[in-house]
Amino acid sequence: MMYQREKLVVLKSSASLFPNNVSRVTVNGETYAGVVHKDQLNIVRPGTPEVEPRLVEAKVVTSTQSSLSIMQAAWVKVSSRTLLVLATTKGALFYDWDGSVLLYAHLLPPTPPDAPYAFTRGIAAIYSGFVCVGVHTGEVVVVRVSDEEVKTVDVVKWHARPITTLASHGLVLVTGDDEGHITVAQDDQGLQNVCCIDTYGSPVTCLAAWGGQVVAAYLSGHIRIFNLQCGRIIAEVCGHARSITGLDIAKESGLMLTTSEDSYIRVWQLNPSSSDLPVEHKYGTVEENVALCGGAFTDDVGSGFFTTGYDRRDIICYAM
Amino acid sequence: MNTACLGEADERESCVVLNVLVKIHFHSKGISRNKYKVGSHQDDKATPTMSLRALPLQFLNLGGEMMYIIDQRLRAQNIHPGRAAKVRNDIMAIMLNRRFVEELFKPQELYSSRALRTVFDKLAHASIMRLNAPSMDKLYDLMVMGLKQQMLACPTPADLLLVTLNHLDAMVAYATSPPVLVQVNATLSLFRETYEGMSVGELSEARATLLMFVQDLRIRVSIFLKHHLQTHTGTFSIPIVGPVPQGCEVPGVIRIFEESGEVSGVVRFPVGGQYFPPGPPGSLAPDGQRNTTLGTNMYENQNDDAAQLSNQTPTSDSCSLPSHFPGTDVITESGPMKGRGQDELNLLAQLIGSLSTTKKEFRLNLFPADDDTGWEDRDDDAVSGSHPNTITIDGGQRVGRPELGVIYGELTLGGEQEEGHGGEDKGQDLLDLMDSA
Repeated sequence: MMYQREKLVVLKSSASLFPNNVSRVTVNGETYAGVVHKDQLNIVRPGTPEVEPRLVEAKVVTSTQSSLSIMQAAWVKVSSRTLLVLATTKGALFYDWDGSVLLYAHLLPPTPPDAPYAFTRGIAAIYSGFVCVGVHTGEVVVVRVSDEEVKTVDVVKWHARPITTLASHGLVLVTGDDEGHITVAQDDQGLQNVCCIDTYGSPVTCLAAWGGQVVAAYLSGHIRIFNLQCGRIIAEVCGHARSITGLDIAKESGLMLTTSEDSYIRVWQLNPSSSDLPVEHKYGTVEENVALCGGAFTDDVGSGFFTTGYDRRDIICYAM
Repeated sequence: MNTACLGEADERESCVVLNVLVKIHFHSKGISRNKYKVGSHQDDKATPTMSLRALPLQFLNLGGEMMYIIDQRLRAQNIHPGRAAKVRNDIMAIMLNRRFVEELFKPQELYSSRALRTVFDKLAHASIMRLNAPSMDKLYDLMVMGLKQQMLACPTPADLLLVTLNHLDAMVAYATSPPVLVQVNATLSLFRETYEGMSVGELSEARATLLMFVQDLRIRVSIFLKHHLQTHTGTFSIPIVGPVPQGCEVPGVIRIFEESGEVSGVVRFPVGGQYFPPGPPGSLAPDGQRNTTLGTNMYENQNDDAAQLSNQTPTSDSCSLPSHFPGTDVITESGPMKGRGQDELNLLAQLIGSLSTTKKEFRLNLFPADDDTGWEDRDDDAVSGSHPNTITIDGGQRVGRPELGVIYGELTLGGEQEEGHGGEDKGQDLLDLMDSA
C-alpha cells in the first residue's frame, strides 16, 4: 500500500459539494488545509489536530443584500507574500494568509434581474506578481500584488462561457470554462494567448500545469494531458466514474492526486519526458459513500494528502 | 347553504391560500435581505446560492415528493377515492397555480428553510385534509431527505431534469380534475422552456445550490435504509458498482497519443469498483422514457404497515371528479405558537370564514405508530389545542364575511409580478398588512 489512512481532523462546519474545495498552504513550515462551507472557510492544521479550526466568514456589504457563497478558496504565493483568496458570488476577496485582514475586494457589478447566476471562480497566481481570478462572464480579472498594495489592473476575455478553474506555473496561466475549452497564456509584457485546447464535450473541473504540460480533469471523469506550448493531446485517462473534483500535482516528484464524486482517490505518476508512459496509475482507494469534493498533497513531494467530501465535518488524512 | 355558494366560497378560499403563498414568497425575499443581521436565526438564513435557476427545481421536486407521500397515506387509510382525489387535485391546484408558478420560474434565490416549510404547510392544508403538527414535521422531513437523496444520486447534472420530469409526470397522473391538468401541463411547458437548452455547467450550479440547501440534514428514513440507499449513520450510499453516466467512460484505461493524434498505446490499470458502459439516455420529451428511477414514487410496493410508508401507482386511480366539498375551516390560535407561523395563522383566522361541516372534513393520520424515530402519535383525537404545538382546527358556523372581498382585493398580486427582486417593497406592504392583523 502506497498510502495509509492516518487520521481525521475535525472542521467547524461541513464541506460543500463543488470542485476544488480542498486547498493547502504551507506557512513557516506548517501545513494548513482549507475547506469551504457555503459562505465560510474552515482552516485547519492537520499536523496539530487538537488546535481549534479557524473559520473565515466571507462578508460583502452591497446595496442588494442577497446571500453570498464562496465558489472557491485558495492560497497564493506571490511577490513574497502569501495571500488567501476567496472567489465568491459577489466578487473576489483578498486576505492575508490566515483570513484575519481583508486587503482588497474586486466586486462584481450588480447582476441584471434575469441573469441566471453571477460569480467569480478559479484562482491562480503567476510569477510576475499577479493573481488571476475567473468570472462567470468568461473574463479573467488580473490583480497586481506588490508589497504596498493589491489592485485590479486588467481584465482579459478569452472565453465565452463561465470560467470554472485556473492554474498556473511560473509565468504561464491556464484557464478553463464550463463548456470544456482551455486557454494557455503567458505573461510576456501582459498576458498573451499561447494556445487553445478545444472541448471534449464536458466541463473542465480542475486544471494544473507542470513539466511543460497541462493536466485537465473533467466532469466526465476523464483526465487529459496536453502539451503546454501547442495544446496537442498526449494522454487521455478514463480515471473516474463521476465528476473529478480535485487535482493536485506535487511539484518536486510529479505525483498527481485526483478525487471524484465517485468516492475514489487516485494517485498517479506523471512522466513528462516519457512518450511511452506519460502517466501511470500508482494507487487508488475508496472512501466509502463519500462524494469527495477535492484533495491536496500535504507537501511538494507527495508524502501525504488530505481530502474530504460533501456533508463531512472533517478532513481525512493519508500518509505514505 | 346552496351549492352555488359553496362553489364561490371554495374559489375565494383557494385564492386566499394562494395569496398567502405569494405573500410568503415575497416575504422570504425580504428575509434573504436581512440574512447578515447579527443574531439572525439559522432558520431564517437564506441558503447561499450559486444558481438563480434552482428554485423551480427545489419547489417542484419537493412538491412531487409531498404528493407521493400524501397519496400513499390516503390509500393506506382507505380514504374514499373521491375525497382522496379531491385532496390531491386541491393541493396541486394551489401548488401549480399559474401566477405562482410564473413567479417561481423567474431567476432568484432559493426559499429559506423557514419560508419553504411555511409554503408546504399551507399546501398540505389546502384541501379538506387535516394534519397535525408532528405529521407535518415528519412529512416535510421525508420530502427534504427525498430531495437530498435524489440530488446527490444524480450521476450527471442533466439528470436533475429527468428527476423533475418524473415528479411532474406523476402529477399529470394525479390531476384528474381538468383545470388542474391544464395547470400541470402549463408548468411542464414552462419547465421545458426554461431548462431544455440549459448547459451542463448551469445545471451543475443548480445542483450544487440544491445540495447546499439540504447540507447537514441527516435524518434516517426507513425506506432509504431498507433499500440500502442510506447507511445507519444517515449518509447516503454511493455505489461503486453500476453503469457510468452518459458522457463518461468506464474507468481503467489510459490512451497514449502520438504527434499525429492517433492512439499509439493503451494501458490498463486496476479500478476497484465494477463499472460498465452507460445505459440508454433519458429523454426530456413529453412521452419520452426518463430512464432513471430517481424522482419516481419511492413508496411504491411497500407493505401497508404502520411503520412504513407504502404506496400504489398513481395511475391506478380512476375516480371521477368529486362533487363540491366545503373548503378549509376556521383555524384558531392555540397554545404558545411563536414566530412567523403565528402571523400566517392570524391572517388566515381573519380571512377564512367558519365552516359547519365536521362530518365532511377528515383527519389524515400520516404516521400512526412510527417506531423509527420514537415519535408517537397516539392521540389522534387530541387535536384539541391543549398541546402547545398543535393547531386546533375547529369547525364552526360558516357565514359570509363581507370584509373578505375587501381584504382579497388588497392582497391581489397586481403589479407584484413585475420581477422577483422588485417584490421587496410590495412584500413590505404585505408584511405591514399582516402585522396589523
